[in-house]
Amino acid sequence: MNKCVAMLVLVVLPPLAMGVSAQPSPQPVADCTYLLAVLEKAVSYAVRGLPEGEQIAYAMLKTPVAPALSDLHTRSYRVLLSYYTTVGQGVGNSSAVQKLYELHQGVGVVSEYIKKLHSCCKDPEVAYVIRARAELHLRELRDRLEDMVKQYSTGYQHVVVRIDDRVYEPGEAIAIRVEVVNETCAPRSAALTYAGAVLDSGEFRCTGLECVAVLRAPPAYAVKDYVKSGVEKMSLVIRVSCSGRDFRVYRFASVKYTYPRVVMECSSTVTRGDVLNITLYSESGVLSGVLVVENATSVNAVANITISSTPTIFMLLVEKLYFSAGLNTLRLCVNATEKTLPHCFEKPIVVKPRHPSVEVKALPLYISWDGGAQLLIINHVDRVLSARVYVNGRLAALAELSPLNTTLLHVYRGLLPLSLASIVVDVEDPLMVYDTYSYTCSPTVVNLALTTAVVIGGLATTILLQGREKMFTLLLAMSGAPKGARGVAESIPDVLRNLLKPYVLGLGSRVAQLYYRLVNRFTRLPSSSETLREHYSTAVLSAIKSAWNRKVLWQFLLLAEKDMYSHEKPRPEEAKRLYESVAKEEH
Amino acid sequence: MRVLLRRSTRLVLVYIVATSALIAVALPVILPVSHNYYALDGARLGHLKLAKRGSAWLLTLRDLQGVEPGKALLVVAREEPLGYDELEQVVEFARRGGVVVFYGSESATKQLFEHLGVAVSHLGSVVDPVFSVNESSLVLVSTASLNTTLLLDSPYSIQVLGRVEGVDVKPLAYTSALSYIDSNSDGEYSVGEPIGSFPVAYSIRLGSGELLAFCARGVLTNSVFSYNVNWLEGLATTRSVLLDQSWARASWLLYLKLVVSTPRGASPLYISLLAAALALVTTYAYSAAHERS
Repeated sequence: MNKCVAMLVLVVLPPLAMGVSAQPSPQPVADCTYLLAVLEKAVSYAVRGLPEGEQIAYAMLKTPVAPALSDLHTRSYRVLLSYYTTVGQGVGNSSAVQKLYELHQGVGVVSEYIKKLHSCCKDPEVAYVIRARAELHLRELRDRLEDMVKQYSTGYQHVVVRIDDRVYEPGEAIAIRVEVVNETCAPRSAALTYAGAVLDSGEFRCTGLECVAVLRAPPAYAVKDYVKSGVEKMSLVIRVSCSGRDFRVYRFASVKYTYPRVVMECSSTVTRGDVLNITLYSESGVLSGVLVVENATSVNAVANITISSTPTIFMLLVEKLYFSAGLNTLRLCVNATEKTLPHCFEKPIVVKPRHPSVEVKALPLYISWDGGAQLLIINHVDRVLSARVYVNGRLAALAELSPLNTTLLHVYRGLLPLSLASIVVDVEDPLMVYDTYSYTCSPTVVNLALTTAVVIGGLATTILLQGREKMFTLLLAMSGAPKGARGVAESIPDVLRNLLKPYVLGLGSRVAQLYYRLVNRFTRLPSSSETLREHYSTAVLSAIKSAWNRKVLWQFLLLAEKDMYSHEKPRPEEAKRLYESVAKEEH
Repeated sequence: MRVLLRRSTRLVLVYIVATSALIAVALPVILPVSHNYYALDGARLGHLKLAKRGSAWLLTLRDLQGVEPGKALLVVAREEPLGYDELEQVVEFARRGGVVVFYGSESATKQLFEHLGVAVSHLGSVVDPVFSVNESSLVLVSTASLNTTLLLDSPYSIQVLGRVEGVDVKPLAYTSALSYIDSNSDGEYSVGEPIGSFPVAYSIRLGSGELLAFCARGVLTNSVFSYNVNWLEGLATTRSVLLDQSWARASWLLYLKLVVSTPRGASPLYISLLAAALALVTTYAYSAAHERS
């Protein structure tokens, strides 16, 4: 019948039939949301007994997926395919029942794959809808398998198996009663299994045709790695022997596992150095565990403790070893017991810092001959503290502060007449009871010796330069002279030389230089405080008697002026001609 | 001497003009041109493979009037919607007994359906991460009536909202049950997007002919041609394949290339003309040089 249905599907649903003939994509599928949605569809089809689920499982089994998912992907779709195969082949024989039982055990793989896919979805919150739907379908599938296993394993009516239909407590006795219908049969043993492991087993004791075996529901500590809070189904495998031939009957027992109930009360805000009183008691019997403090940087175990139903106060000193300033988490992790699963309870604690009573005294302005700055640190605490002083970001001093004592620290020496020092003082407690106290200041430091030297040097320079303002004026004029003025730009590298002989060099004019050379033969050069014309009337006319020479020198003077100040520069040949004419005349 | 110089100058000028003209005319053949659905384009959405397979191209749909419908299969692939006259010519060709394979952009397909009196709405691209080739946009689809599998480039889904009487629209090809509609076009599956088998091709009976409308960007384009060629041959049987290239008239370069080309290269007529022109220039140059000497 099921084969016919499968064939019908292949014919009626061409897209699915195509899946058999066409090769699936060689590209690994890594879209977890898509894979989760497809898995949900496949499981829902399987639950409803529709053949589309088988086709999807077949196609997906051939489809490569991301390596991280590959193993679970293959195993999950094998379980689904196996479900279809087993159901399709009929469950009329004991091996089919065995397969159904194995399938029931294998459903956990699909559940694991659903969780894995959900964890890698791009938007897990939105994808939770698909996960919830898939898990619901899977639960239905598991229940259906359970019913099938129960129904078909006793299909021959050799024995009647009875178990109390209720939820058991962990560790509680589960009585399995077997009534023998076929007298050639006898129940041999019963085993309780979960996740493939046999957790308990026992022999049957018979009174007439009534046999009883008592198994223990697994204690919580035995299954702590597999189960979470809630009702778990444990498998009961009953071995029955009929005329020397063994077969198995399967039943399921529900066991409820819970987390322990523990009350942990303490103040949510404490100050460093205080004692934190933690009230602890259990509403789930005696529990043992470990108290852990998670601070901003590390997790530290504080103590191993035992909690009972009687409230106990656990005192914990809020010291730096365990607590950092700010938010800390107090975590109590209790071990599994027979009845309860392991669990951790958390409580946030805000720790306020406590600084040592220390006074740091610094002046806003330090005036000294050496440019030094000092700090006065007064320790009001009756224990040794250490101080680190950073000036402008560099460690400048390291000192031990004696109890109830005052310490003077030289922390800075200014190498400029006036400087600004950025000082940070960190006072620490070596015993780590107190938090680090930080003090910051930015005093101004005056170095008197250097200031005096600078003042004296400045005064001397002022005196030396008095009456030589023209030198500076000329220097400024030369540095900012228009580019058109010939010779000036070229002479800037020799600015000092020019500064000393401004007129001799004639502002870089070659004509003027030639004029000066000529004049220098007859008389003195023009001083810095007279014009060329003044010099001509006072010095040249008195030195040169020849009227012709006077006339030539006057023309030469006009030529030099034109070369120095006018945009219309004279030709150098003309100056040369005048120079040579005077020189010849002189000879 | 002056005469000789004048002749020499004229000869050089003739050479320059002739060479430039030859280069200008040869350029359209040499230069590669890329355009979706172009017969000479070897890129993903080009039709070079189909053209090389021996199909002829139509430079105007008016030529359909001279084609015997029972002996031709018309391939129409469009980026932009067809004009009213063009649609009429395509539909008329089908009514007279022709087979038309139509695909292209969403707007072009939608406009075709609406012209036939079928109201449709675009649902989104269909992506199939499982039944695809190399990339999830090349999707394998199954044709129920032809019992074959086709590979479609970037298929999309439309919803038929309503139709007029007398128009027989039947789904022709479906995607696999593992495909989904990428409604938000983010390229990934998002919660709420439908997963399932979607029709991506429709068969529309028109008179004695048939119009096969594919909701896909490529059916006989280069990217999927080798996969679908057997289906095309089965569909065409004795019919000759005509590829609509009438849209290329909008671009002078595309049109010129089609005019001077054949599916296997430059047109023999074009090469003959070029050779004749070259021979003329050479003869002229030779005679001119002979006269000068």
